[in-house]
Amino acid sequence: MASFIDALTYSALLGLMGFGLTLIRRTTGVWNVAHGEVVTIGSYVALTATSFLAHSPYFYLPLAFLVCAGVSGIIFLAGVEPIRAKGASSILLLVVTIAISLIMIAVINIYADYLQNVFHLSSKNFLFARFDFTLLGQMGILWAAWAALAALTISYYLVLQHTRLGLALRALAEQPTLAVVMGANVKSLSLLSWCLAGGAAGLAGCLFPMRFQCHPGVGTSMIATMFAVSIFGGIEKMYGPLLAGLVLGFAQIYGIDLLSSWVGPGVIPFKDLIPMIVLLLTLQFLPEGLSGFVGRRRG
Amino acid sequence: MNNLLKIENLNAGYGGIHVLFDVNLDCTRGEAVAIVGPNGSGKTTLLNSIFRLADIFSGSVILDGTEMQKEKSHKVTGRGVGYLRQEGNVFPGLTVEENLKMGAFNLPKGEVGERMEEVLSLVKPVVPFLRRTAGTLSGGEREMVALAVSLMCRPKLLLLDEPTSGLSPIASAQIAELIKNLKDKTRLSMLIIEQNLKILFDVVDKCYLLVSGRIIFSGGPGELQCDKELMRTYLGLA
Repeated sequence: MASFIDALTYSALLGLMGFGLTLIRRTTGVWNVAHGEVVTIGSYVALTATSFLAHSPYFYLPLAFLVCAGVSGIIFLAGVEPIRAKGASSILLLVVTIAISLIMIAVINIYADYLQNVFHLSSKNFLFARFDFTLLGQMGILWAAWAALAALTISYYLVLQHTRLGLALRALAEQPTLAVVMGANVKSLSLLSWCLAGGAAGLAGCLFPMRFQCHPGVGTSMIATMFAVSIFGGIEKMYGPLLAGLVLGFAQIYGIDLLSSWVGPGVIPFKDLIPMIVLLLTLQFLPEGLSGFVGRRRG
Repeated sequence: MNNLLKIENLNAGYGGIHVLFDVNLDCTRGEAVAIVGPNGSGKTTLLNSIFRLADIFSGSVILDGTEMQKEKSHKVTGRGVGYLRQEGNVFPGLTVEENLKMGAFNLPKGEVGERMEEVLSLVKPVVPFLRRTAGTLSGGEREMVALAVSLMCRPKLLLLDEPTSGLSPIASAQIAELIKNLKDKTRLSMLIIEQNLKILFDVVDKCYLLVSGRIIFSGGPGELQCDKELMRTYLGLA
């Protein structure tokens, strides 16, 4: 039962992380490798705030959202947009985000060292489980993670389908030049996408230590899984990351538990290979991802 | 001055590639102007320059008395310019109605419905497709939708880049009829690039012949048709 709950929680957090990655890819066509570090920053916002200001990390979800939205916006404005404006290819932009990711890893490690050396905080390995509450016999993080993912997916869906801003974002995802010709400010819309994506990553990062161990490389170690979520979910619909997070989260945690009970515990260290296998199979047999497949079946 | 658009000594291109050289062009209110020339002569770049989608190296583009070369691309529509691009001129994943709404992105929200009714009365063949996704339409249907979308912003000047390109003769004739109707029923100024000269000469008041990025002829369509040398050498017609 514990691993089932873990899988459910992990699925929602993966969905939140994949949501941001998919949003950026959908609206600006950029694979943002630095997204993992934005998630880590969300965790460190929670650590810093709970350590110095007390309260539960849940209290700091809005702060994590805002800080990470700002960081993601800065990555876009200072790192990606100036190079994209010169006509850089998506491969080159991917390389740019790798460089930004490496810089951010260094900065996060320096900050973690600073917290540890100056304030004697356990900043290299931390868990917030002690702050959690219980609801209907389950840890609060399970409800909070799913509530955050559902709220984000539903509100984004409503904005996309029922507002002019949403129409412009969908148009931008399809034909950026045509969107410009029709008067949409592509730079502002792209910045908004990056900020929203960063905010979602911040929520995931803030919630992650409630159930799972956190360290300066936590986002970096999960970026490949986030890519798998984004590719497996597809970019057709924004519920793609939710579906993909559920499947991959279960496959990674619940699936490996089942597998280890059949073939022995030797398979457990290889659990991170499961998303990679799903990624490869998706690219070969379902390149449009789950949401594209569902859309095609309906259409 | 009755000039809606005045282009003076325009040098433009993309990045380091120089495409247009000292181009001069005028378009008065209500006038339909053709830009003709062989492939690769810079016709699309000229339209892109008006929209700042190409880099302007020197010269000026003056629209209704305002210099446009410092204007940001997304603000050009708000100045009253509609642009039907040759390719990628609709959003294939959006419905036709959503495409039309996107075309009116610069208008106040309250005016969109009224403008849509006006445009649909001008481009009636689009009405049955309103609920369909643009990507599911045929080439001719899509071109009509694109034309309707380009009209949504209440343009004073409409740029048309090969509106009948790749269409069947029947679809081409329908588009030509729509453009002719637009010219007759509205005071819209148009800058048209079109390979089908028969369609073009029926509609336009003035022609510019662009060869290797330079204007080598300007005058009425009748004058151009009379110049057998130009017609044969650059337009492939005797």
